[in-house]
Amino acid sequence: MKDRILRALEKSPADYTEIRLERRQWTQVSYQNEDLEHLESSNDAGGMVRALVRGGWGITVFNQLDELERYVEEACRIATAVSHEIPEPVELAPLPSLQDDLPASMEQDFRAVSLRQKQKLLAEYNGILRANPGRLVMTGARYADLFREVTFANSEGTYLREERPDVTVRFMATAREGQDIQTAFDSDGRSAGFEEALSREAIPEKVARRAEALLSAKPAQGGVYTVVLDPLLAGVFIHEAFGHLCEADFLFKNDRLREVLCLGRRFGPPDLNVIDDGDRPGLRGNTRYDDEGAPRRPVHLIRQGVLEGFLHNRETARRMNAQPTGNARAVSYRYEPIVRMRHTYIDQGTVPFSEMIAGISQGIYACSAFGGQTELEQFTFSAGYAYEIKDGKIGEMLRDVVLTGNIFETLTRIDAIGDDLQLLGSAGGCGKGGQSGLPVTVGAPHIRIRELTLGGR
Amino acid sequence: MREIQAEEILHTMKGQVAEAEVFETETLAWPVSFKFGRLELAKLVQTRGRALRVIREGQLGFASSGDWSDAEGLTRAALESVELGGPAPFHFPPPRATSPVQCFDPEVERVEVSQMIEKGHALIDLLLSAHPQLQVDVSLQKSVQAVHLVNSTGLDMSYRRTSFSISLEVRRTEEGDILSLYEQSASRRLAEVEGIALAKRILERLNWAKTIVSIPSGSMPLLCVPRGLLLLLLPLQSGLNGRAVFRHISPLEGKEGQQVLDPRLTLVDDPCRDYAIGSAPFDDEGLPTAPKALIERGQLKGFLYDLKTAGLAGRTATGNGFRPGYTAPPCIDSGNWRLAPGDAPIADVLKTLPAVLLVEEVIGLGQGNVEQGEFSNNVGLGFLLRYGENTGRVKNTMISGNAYQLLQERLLALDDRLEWVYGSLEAPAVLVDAVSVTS
Repeated sequence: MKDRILRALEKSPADYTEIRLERRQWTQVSYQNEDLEHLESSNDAGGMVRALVRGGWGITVFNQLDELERYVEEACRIATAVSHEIPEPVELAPLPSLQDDLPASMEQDFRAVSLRQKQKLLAEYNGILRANPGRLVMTGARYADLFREVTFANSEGTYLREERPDVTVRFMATAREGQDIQTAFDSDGRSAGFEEALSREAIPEKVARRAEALLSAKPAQGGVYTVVLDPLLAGVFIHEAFGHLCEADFLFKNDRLREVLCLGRRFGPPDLNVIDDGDRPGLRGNTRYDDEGAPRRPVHLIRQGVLEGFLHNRETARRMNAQPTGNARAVSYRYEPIVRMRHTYIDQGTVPFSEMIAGISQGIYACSAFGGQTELEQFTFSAGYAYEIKDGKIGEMLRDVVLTGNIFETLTRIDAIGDDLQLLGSAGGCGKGGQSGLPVTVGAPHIRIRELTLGGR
Repeated sequence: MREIQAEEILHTMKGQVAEAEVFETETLAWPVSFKFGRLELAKLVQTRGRALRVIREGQLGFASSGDWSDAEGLTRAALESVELGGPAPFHFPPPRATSPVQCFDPEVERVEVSQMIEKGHALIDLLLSAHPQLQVDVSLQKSVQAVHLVNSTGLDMSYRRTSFSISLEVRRTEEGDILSLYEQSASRRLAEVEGIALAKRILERLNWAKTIVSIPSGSMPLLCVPRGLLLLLLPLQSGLNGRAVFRHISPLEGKEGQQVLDPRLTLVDDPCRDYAIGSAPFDDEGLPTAPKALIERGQLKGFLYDLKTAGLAGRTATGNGFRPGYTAPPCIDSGNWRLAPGDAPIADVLKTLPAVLLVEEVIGLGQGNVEQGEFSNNVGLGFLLRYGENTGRVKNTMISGNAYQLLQERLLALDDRLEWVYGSLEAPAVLVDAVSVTS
């Protein structure tokens, strides 16, 4: 295959050409209630050619690998057509020419584990999830693994092959009392082997208990509160509400937003550090090279409260006089690499959790993210569950907690950062530009925010 | 060549399983996108793939592959899957007449990428000539897809479908305020996708959004224009899904024949409307599609089912087994939804109301307890109407309520005018009372 790739690159008349091929192999097992819902073992293979002609991109996507040269030609033809239409030609920041071959690091290769064994493991977890059915009306359990082998080669002499394993488990439970229906879920995931899926009994147990407890929880009252976020919710918050704004493909042609997000400007308290790191082997979204062949590099988005960096691909780095950061990622061969996060987290602070809640006379302790969405500066997040904080103590469980606000105002209102950083993989993934389910890891310690608006009735 | 291959797979499976089915798609798509007013990329996507489902001793197996040369790997994976497989309380259907619905427009197949680029430029010019500061993103896509389904009962059906879509996303960034507007149109017919109309709507909304008004917290009427109606329809999409009923998480379970919504509401699932995005002559399991009343004058008429769920629940499949792609098994999905109009212009009612929140878009749609009908969302794009007149844009505002309750007890009015949105929903504007607003 390598010869065919090199030959196709050599024949390309474009200024720059890259070929990215991918083999994907995955299994999925899921239970709904006591029934085995889905069991699958599948594979897929395909590729993308990107050609740059006089500053215009042409792209072809295919899943029949035997006609590489034709797809290169076609990409060049499209690129030529595009190049007539663009006022500002694309240029790429320089990268060294690299050769590397990176096999996956797995204690137990999940490709060698039989489907039956995976099904058995999940059946055990499902048993735990359904051990005390109580008012549970629906439960779901899912195991999924995906092995990607990505080969990247470009006309600058780079040739990389990287294996990227990904394993996740996910559990949900829905409890019902009359017309009242409550759902809890939790998950975990890593870029690892089958070992990641083992010994996960605590998750289904916790999920079942929480769904049941939510039926008895009080709906939260809308209003403005001091809110403490747990590490998962704080991590999702920083990823969704702030991380996406720092993606340079979004920023680089946008003068107005660049004025707001101006490097060196203060956005939060002096102990606030926000980092996007790709260099934590084993975490979801960890790769040595991104999908443009750029080596990963950790980026401080905020250092000591001050905006310090953005996330780049080769094109944005060139335009904004920065270095590629290794953030050009694609969910599969069907998509072009765009600027994406990897492991995004708020770094460790110094305030112990007990001290953080001690000073709150009336507040909310919001945990786990049910979902989140942002519309530029505006964000909305649903907590999976929450508790009242009364006179410095955790009180009754609350539900229907939806947090909303303006990210720039909210960052300045962070007034305590915990000493208990956690980095959390989950079964979900990040979505952007039509590419959803990209493996990422989020994290944070507990954080406290003053004057946060809670929706509710 | 392709047909022979699918049949060969069925032939190989004979004797090893009781029933087998092969689903194949072959897709050619041309996306063109402009970012920040400039052409960013044009792309050719050429892919094909197939899925194999098998039934043996009442158990179901599934596998998919994009590699058409490796039929052996596909059959092996399906056999491994059926060995452990979940229940298959159904049979693959025999051949039947399909619904006569138009899904293919040769004009879409003929449209050139250069024409799409031209169309994109024209839209950007129109928007920028009115507001040079705007950031304008435009996406256009044409696609042509062949669908082929064969099974061991002798069913062998295929059709080709086209689609064309244009979406516009416009952002206005000012210190402390970012306004974002989105419009999209999609159809299986080229002539039905009118980009200029989308751009004009955006200009109208920008005009409406010139001033920002504050809105008091409390309870007030909410006007959902058709494109903002998913806020209220999403819970129904979930509640009318036969799977949710079978799993006892639909509040509509057991209420067939009962009055569940206001008697002015009639909702039909219609996958047979010519050229609509949710249309198909047969579903992805081989059942003919048909229009179905789900809610008639507020009465619950029925739910949507695919073969498997219908089998589990002892119901009849409604031809709503659709696949999101060849790599996933069929699941229940609606075709196109049509909500019947009211009989008088909604403006007549709005004229009498001192304060109405008009919502076009919310942030975080689908979060929270959708099954139960609960919503609690930040308003992405909303306006405050006073006696029917727009007074300005509302921001940093949260709305919450329960869609079932609002549509049952608090429906004020339906507009007498219908609008097509997203290529798969036809609906009037809906006005409901007493929605909780936190600002």
